Amino acid sequence: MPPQTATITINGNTVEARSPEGVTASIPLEKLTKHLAPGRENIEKFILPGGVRFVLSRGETIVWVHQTPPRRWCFKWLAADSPKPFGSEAKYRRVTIALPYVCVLAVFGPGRHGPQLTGKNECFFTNSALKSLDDKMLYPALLNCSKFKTLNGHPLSWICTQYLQRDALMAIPDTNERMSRSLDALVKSLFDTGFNLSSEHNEETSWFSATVAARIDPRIAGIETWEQATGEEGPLFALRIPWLETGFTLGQIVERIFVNQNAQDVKITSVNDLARIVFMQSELARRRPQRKPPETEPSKTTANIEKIF
Amino acid sequence: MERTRANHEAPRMGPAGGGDFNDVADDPAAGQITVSQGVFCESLPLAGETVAGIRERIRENFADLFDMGPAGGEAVSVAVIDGQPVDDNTVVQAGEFLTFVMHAGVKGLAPIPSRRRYRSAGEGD
Repeated sequence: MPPQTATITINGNTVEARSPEGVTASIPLEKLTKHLAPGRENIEKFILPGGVRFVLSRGETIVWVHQTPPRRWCFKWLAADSPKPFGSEAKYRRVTIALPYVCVLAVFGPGRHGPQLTGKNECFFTNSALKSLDDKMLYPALLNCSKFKTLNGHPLSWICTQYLQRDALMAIPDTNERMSRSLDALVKSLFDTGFNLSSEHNEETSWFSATVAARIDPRIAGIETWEQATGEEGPLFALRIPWLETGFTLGQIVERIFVNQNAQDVKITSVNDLARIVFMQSELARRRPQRKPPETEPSKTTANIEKIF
Repeated sequence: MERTRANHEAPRMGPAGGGDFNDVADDPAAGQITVSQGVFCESLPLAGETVAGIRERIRENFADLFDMGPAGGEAVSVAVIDGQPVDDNTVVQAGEFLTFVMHAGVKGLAPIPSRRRYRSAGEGD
């Protein structure tokens, strides 16, 4: 009695699939493993930028978790007497404030050359260095880190990157350089550009305004008291502030990102699933080198794939 | 507002500057400063140099990591030590954290309805 399922044989570096009817196809083992983990190819060869603490991926979505240690920062912040809350007529001043650990979650999705930065990146505070995915994350008391009216489908703390020159970043052909430069541009966009009240007008609010409104600590009653406390207490006082809790761990936030990005791993639940990949990839490889015009009829193998499974 | 710190006129010399080896043994970090811009951060033996000198050294040696703008041109970034802007004559001491900040550009320039803005930034990625 013939077998009811396909069989997979790995011989050296070659994977062979045999259908229940006896049809066979083979591909290099490397091709199969790459297909099982799309978006992750060559990631083990990357030189990660300093501060990247975790690299997590699902399907073609990759999240880099970057952490900056506590220190005094010099920001360009909306001035109290600014004639406009944001936009070209807004007026800024420099402020020096201490921040705790700042975590930037850079979200990469599929692009022309491979993974590319999406516009759905997030920012959080923590009061200690990241140690595991179970660490609890805190909302960042920063302007332009947006809070949305509804959580469903939205980031928890969105970094507005509307004016990030992402087209130039996407055009970098080398994946390692593209991802590093994209993270650099994201971090510069967050810390170096002017902080204003755009989130208060375009989203529900910013996590700075939400934190001030929650009255978590008199030192964070406004930017002026924050500056004063930084001057008087030094850069580490920010680690003792009870920043607003997200209620999520780092792992749960990354899981939310994967869900919102509709990121899915290739699900392999049976030998037939594996065999289907081998047949498809074998057929694609058979067509590619010959550069023939498209066939008017499916080949015998292609036609059989759906019939077999 | 920029300021120059007067107490930095007589820089301590570390290994990069040819100082006393015993001093170095007492303080392993002597001579090193941390230079940061964006995501890139390096510990470099540049203590005792002015900010202007450090800009030049970086142009010569680390242009692949840091953007100092063209030589002889106007500085494209603000030098910041411990959260305070400093001018190009400031001497950077061993152990200090020097950041070059590009205080150009703003966030959320145009008043776009939230849903559309969010979509324009990421939809379809």
